Amino acid sequence: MEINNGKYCKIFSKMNEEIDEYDIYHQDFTTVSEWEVFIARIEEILNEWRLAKTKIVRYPTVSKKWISKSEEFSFQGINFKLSYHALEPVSNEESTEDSDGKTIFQELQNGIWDATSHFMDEDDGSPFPVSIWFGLKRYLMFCPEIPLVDGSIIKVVMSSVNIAFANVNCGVPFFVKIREHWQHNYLGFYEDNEYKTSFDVINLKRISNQCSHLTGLVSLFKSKISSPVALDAVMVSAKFSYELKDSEAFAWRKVTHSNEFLSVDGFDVKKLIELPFGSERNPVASILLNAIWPRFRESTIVDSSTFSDIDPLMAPVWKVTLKFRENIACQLSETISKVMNLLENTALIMDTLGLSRSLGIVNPLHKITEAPITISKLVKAAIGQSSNTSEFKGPLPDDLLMPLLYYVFPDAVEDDTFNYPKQLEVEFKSDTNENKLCNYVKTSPESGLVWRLSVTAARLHDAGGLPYLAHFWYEFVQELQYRWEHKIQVPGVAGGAPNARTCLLHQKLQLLNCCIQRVDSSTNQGGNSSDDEFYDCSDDDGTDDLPPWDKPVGRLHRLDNATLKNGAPLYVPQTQDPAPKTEDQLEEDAELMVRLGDDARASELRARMMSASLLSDMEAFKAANPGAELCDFVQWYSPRDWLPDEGGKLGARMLLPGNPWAETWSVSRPVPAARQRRLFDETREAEQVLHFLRSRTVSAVAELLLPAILRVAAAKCHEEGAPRGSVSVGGVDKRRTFEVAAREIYDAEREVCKCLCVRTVFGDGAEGEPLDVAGRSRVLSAAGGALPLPARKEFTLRVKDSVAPQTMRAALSTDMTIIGVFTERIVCL
Amino acid sequence: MATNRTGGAQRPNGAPQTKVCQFKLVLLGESAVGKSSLVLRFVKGQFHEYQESTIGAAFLTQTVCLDDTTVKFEIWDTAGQERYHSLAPMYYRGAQAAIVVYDITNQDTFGRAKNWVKELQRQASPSIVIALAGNKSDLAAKRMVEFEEAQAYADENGLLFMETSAKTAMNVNDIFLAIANKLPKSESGGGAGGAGGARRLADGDTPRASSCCK
Repeated sequence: MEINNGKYCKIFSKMNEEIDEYDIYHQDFTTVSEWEVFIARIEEILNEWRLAKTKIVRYPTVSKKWISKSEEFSFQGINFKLSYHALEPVSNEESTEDSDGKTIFQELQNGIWDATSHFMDEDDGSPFPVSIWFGLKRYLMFCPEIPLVDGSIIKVVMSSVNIAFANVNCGVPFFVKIREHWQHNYLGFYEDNEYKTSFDVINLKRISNQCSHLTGLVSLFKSKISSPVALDAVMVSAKFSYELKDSEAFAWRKVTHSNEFLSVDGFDVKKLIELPFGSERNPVASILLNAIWPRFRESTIVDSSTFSDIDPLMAPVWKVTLKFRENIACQLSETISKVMNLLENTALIMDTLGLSRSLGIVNPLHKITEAPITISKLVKAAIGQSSNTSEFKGPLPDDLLMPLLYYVFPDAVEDDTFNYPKQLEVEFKSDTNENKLCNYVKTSPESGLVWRLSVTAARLHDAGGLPYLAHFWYEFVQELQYRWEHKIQVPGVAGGAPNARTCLLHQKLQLLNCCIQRVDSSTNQGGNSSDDEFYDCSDDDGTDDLPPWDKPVGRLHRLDNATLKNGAPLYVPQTQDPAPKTEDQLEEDAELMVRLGDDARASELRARMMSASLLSDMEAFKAANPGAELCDFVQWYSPRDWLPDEGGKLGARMLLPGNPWAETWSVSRPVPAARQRRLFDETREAEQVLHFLRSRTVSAVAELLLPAILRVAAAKCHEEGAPRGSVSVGGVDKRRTFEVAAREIYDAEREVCKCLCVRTVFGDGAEGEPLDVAGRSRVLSAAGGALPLPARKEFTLRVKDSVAPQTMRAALSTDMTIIGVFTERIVCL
Repeated sequence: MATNRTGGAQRPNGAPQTKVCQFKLVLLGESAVGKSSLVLRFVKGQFHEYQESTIGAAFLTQTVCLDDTTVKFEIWDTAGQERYHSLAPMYYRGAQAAIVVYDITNQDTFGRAKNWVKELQRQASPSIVIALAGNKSDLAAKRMVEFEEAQAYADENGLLFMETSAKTAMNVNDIFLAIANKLPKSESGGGAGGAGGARRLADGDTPRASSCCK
C-alpha cells in the first residue's frame, strides 16, 4: 500500500497537543523524504490498530492464546514486517478502567516483575520470546526480512520507531529485531511522559569471564541501574539444567522374552497365553532435570570465578522432563504386524508344508486322505500302539505341539487346567464395551477357542515363522476333522447357529458344531437315516374324507383357539429349522440371487428356490392337521391374508390365478418335519467347513485369525492400563479395518509404555511438578549418584528501586543470552 | 443426467466420469402392507391391485441419478410373515439402507414397524439409513395411523418419513431419492467392520436407465 495522500498523516511536530487526525485534513508537506514517509506509515498503522495510550482497549480477563496482525513495509530496500501481538480476550467485555498512561505503565511494570518467577526457556505460545522474557500481554515487533547488522541502519530504524512511537503516544512496548535472526536479539522500549523503559538483549557466542558466575552478573546488573539512591539487596532465582542420558533405571520393566516358552525343557503354556507387551528398549531417550532455587538474596550464596556454593542437591525444587524416543518398538504391535504381513502372502497355507496335493486340495471334492496326526492318534502312539509310518512330520516337535493342542482342545485330556468356561458369552456392543479399543473388529467369545487358537498361532508365528503357523493350522484342521468323524463337539465355541456378529472363524466353528449336533440328534432318534425317501402318502388333495391311517403327526401346540375350516382345532406343526449359514455363505447366496438378475424368469426361479421351506412347512402343517385347507394354513402362516368369514376364507391376493402359494399347497403332501428330506445337509456342510479351513491361502488364514488377535491385544492394552476412548469406526473393508485397529493398538501400547516410565519417575506426582523426596533419590540414583555438569544455567536478578522494578536475566549454556529491563525517570534539563 | 453409456464392457481406460455407488437396501414390515408394491412402482412403474404374497424375499435393482453420482440400489424385498422373521438378518446385515413399511389403515402394522426399527437399530450396521413409509395413503378415508403420530416417532428416532401410495405413485420415487441423498457417497463413508459403505463399481458395470432423470 502506498501513501498517496496526507489524510491520515499527521504533521510531524513537537507539539504535545492532541490532534484528531481523522477529522482534520492537513496538507502535509513533511512527508517528502523516504525516511519521513517511513515514519508516517508506521504512525498510520499504529493509529489504525488503535494503539495510542488513550485508545487502547484493555480487557479484564485474557486467555492464553496469542492473536496477531501485521503489515508489510519497505525502507532503504529492506522489507519489514510490523506485527502486533496480544493475548486473546476471554469475552468482549472491555475493562471498566480508563486507559491512561499511568495504568498502562503500572500494568507493564507488574508484568515485568511477575515474569521473574518464570524462566526464560519456557514457552507461552507467542511468536517471539519477548513476552515470556518480559512478562508482556501485548507488544509490537518490527522485524526485518534480512538481518539488520549494520550499526547505522539499526540506529536509523530505532530512531524512526522512536519518533513514530512518541507521535502516536503509543501504549504498547515496541521491539525491533536486530542482528542475525538466530540470535534472538531484540531492542525494545516503552515511554511515557515520566518514565522510559528499555528492553535489552545481548547474545554472545562465548561466555565472558565476568558473566559466567553469579557474582559477576550481580555487579553487571548493579552497574546498569542508574539509581541515585542506595539499592535494596538483589533477589536472585536460579535454574540449573542437567541432561541425564543414561536412564536405564527408568526402563520399561523387563518382560519374559517372547520366545521363551519354546525352550525344550519346561515348556510353559502359561507363558504362551501371555502376549508380549511393551517396548524392548527403554522408551526414554533422556531425562532433563532442572534444579531450581526460586528465590534467595544475593549475599546468601557465593558463586564466583574461584568458589561456588551452588549445589544442585541442595536446590529446593527439582523438576524433570522426559524425552521419549521417536520410534518406540513395541512387542505386542510387533507380533501383530508380523501377522499383518502375512496378508500379502497368497500361497495356499498347505503348500507351505508341501501338503496341498496329498490333502486333495487341488480337487475339492476328493475324499480327504486319512488324517495323519490327531490328538487321539498321538495318544494311542503314546500308550504303545504303532501309528502310521508315512505320517506327516511338521516343523513343530511333538513335545511342543501336543501341549498347544491340549490348550486349544482342553477336553481331549483329563487335566482341567485349561478348561473353557461353561458359559461362553459373546460380548456385543453395549455400554460397557462402548469405548474399548478395536470394538469395531468382530469379536468371538472371550477366552474361547478362537481366542486361544489365534493367540497361539500369533505367538508361534512370532517364534518360528510361517512354517510353525502353517503346521499348527494343519493340526487344528486335522483335529476338527477327527471331531466331525467322531461327532465330538468343538469346545470353546458359543452355542447356536452362526452368529453374524462374531468373526468368520467363530461362525465356521459354530456351523461345524451345528452339523455335529444335528447328526448326533438324528442318529439318537434312532429313526431312518437322512437318505430316506419321502414319507409315503397317497393323499394328495387333503379331502375331508380322512383315511383311518392318517393320524395327525408332528404337532407342536394349538394355535390359541383357532379352528380349521372343518371345525377341528388348528395345530402349529413342528417345522424344520432354517439352515444355519455363515456370513460368507449368506453373501454367496445373495450374490447368486443378484447374478440371476431381476427379470421375470429370474424372479420365478428365485421364488422356487425360496419356496423349498414353504413346501416343508406346508407338508408339516398337513401332517399335523389332517384335512386342512390352504386357508387354514394361511390363518396360521400369514394371518393378514385370511378372512374369518364363513369359518375362514383366503384374502384376495391368495386367490390370484397361478399363485405360488396355492401351487405349492397343491403339490405338498402331509409329511411331518422329522420325516422330511432335510433342508440342511449336515455332511455336506461339515465337509465344506473343513475344506474351507484347509484350503485357505496364508493371507486368508491371517484374515481369519486377526480379529481375535486384535481383540485379545486390545484387552491386553486395557489390562496394562490403556485408557478407553476408541473413536475409530474401522475401515470400509476388512483389510483397512485391520490396519486401523493395529494402528490403534500400537498407539495404545506406546502410550502405556510412556505412562509407565512417567510413573516410575514421578511416582504419584505429575510431570512438570516438583519431585518429592523419593522421586529425587530415584532420579539421582538413575544418574549414578552424582549429577554431571549442568548443560544450562540461568539466573534471574531483580530489585525494586524508587522508580520501578529493574530486572536482568542470564542464560548460560554453550552461548550466553542476557536480557535486561531497566526503567529510568525522564529528566528534562 | 449422468452417464448414458451403451451396454458392453468398458475398456479400463474408459473410466466413467460419474461416480457410481452401489447400495444394498432392504424392505421390512408386516405382511400385506405394500412392500412389494412399492418396489414394483419404483422399479417398473407398475401397480397391481392384488400383488402376490412374497415368499422368502424378492430381489430387484434400480438405478437413480443424483447430481454427480449414479446410485444403484440392490433391493431386497422381504416377506412379512412371522415365519420369515428369522431370515431377515440375512437381508439387513450389511445393508446401507432400509425402508420399514406400515399400512396407514392398520394400527397393528405401525406397531410392527416400530419393532423393526428397534431391531435394526440394535442389530444392523450402525450407519444404516432407515426410512419409514406409511403406505396406502390413497386410502386416507380408512386412516388409523395419524400422520403427526408417525412423523413424531420418525423425528424421535432420526428416520426419514413419508406417507406413500404405490397405487397413485405418491412419494414413491421421492422416498428412494431421499435415501439416496442421505447415503454417504465417499469411499470412507461406511459403517463398522465389514458392513461397509458404498461400493465403487468396476468399469464394466452399466447402470440401467434411470427413472428419475432430472
